[in-house]
Amino acid sequence: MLELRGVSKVYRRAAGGRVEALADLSFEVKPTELAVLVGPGGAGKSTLLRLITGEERPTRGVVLVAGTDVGALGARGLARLRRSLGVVSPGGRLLADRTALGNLTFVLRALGTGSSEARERALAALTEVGLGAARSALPHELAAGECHRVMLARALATRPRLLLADEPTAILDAAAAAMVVTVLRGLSLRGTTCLVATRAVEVARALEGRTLELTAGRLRPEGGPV
Amino acid sequence: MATAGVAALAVLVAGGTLAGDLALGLSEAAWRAELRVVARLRDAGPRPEDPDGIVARARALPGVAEVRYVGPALALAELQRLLGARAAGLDRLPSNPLPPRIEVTPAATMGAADLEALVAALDRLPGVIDVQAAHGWVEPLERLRRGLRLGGLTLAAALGLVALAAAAGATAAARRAGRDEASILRLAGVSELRLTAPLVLPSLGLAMLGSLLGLALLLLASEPGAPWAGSWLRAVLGLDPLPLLPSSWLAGLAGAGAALGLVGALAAGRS
Repeated sequence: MLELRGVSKVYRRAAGGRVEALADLSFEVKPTELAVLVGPGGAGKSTLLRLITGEERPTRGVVLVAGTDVGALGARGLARLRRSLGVVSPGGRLLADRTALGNLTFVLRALGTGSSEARERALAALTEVGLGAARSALPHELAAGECHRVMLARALATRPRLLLADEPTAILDAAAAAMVVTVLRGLSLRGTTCLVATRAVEVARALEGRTLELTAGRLRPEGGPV
Repeated sequence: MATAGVAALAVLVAGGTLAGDLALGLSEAAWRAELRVVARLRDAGPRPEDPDGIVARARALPGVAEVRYVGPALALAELQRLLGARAAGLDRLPSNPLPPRIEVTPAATMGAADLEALVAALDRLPGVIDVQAAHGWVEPLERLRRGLRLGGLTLAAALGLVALAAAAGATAAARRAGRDEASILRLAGVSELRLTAPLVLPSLGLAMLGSLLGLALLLLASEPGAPWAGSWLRAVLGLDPLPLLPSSWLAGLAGAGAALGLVGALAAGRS
């Protein structure tokens, strides 16, 4: 489902010089697999996810999603690819003037889902993350952790083939984090491929997926202790 | 709404300029049809219309459309016809005082400088006494048309640029307001076309509306609008209704007005 071959990402500093955010990464995530990318802040986890979504292009190497080279896609191909992805990231946003439910349905409607089906899917996704009762709440009426779960629900509602979750539990309390972990595991069991990036080792363990350890842009050989 | 207003003005000024130029062109064509350069001849020779006669030599000059020879007898007959009852005294003249002449019709496309050159060339032909041509109006009219086209179209272009900037500004503001929405939808896989269309279409629609408004005002100031606006035009601006522009020109003006909105919106919507 997802394969990286010799992927590197180098940024040029405005003041001169280069920063190698990712160095020669190669790994594969098989369909329905749950993979967890563990590493400290600045390890390159978010950069890696942005390469997969096509928001950035690798300096070297190839990112393949379902056999498609993401870096070679044009705008139209990228849009088509992203319809098969679900993305949750700390930088994600909710629209302030729409309810929790509205934040989900407007995406589904823009993707061409009929209004009643969009509402049904949005409600189901909100219920799955434990926010069914908060469907009419506006973002400012929700806690930060709840907003984060609405964003997870928004990603789930599009029924992605590959879910990319960047720090999905970072700002959640223990109970909410446990619920998110359960949701992600359930998603994987139902056939969705998941790649979760987290700095929390305990979350990685709780997810019970294959662990990929990323430090300073390099992958540690698999099989070692986390 | 600024886009619509300025686009309407741009279309009105451009259309008004073209229609004004068309009106002057029609008047000029009518005046030119009457324009003759008359060369009075000392002696046209026995066969003026022979290949080597004065008529042939005049016809060979550049810019000459037609040459008519008028002998003394014909000149006197034409004068008598022109004077009517007042020509009675001409019969009592001992001899015909009128010299022969050639009447030269210049080509319709000749400018003032070429006309001057033609008069000088005719004057140099052997046997010519003098050359008369009432062409003094051609040069001022050429200057007026040039000035009208330059001034009107420059003003229309400036207004067009303002309309384009207004469309770009409105689109940029809408883009800023919908930035969050667009970034969410882009990441969800909504196509750029779908994201750009809601930004571009309002500006395009306003520019089209403005163009149609400008065309409506232009039509009102043209001959078809004379029953409604003709008297007002004469009273306020001292102008007669303008001639109606060809439909292809009107369509071009409407398209150009709409294109201002489209280009402005696309420039701001996709940047």
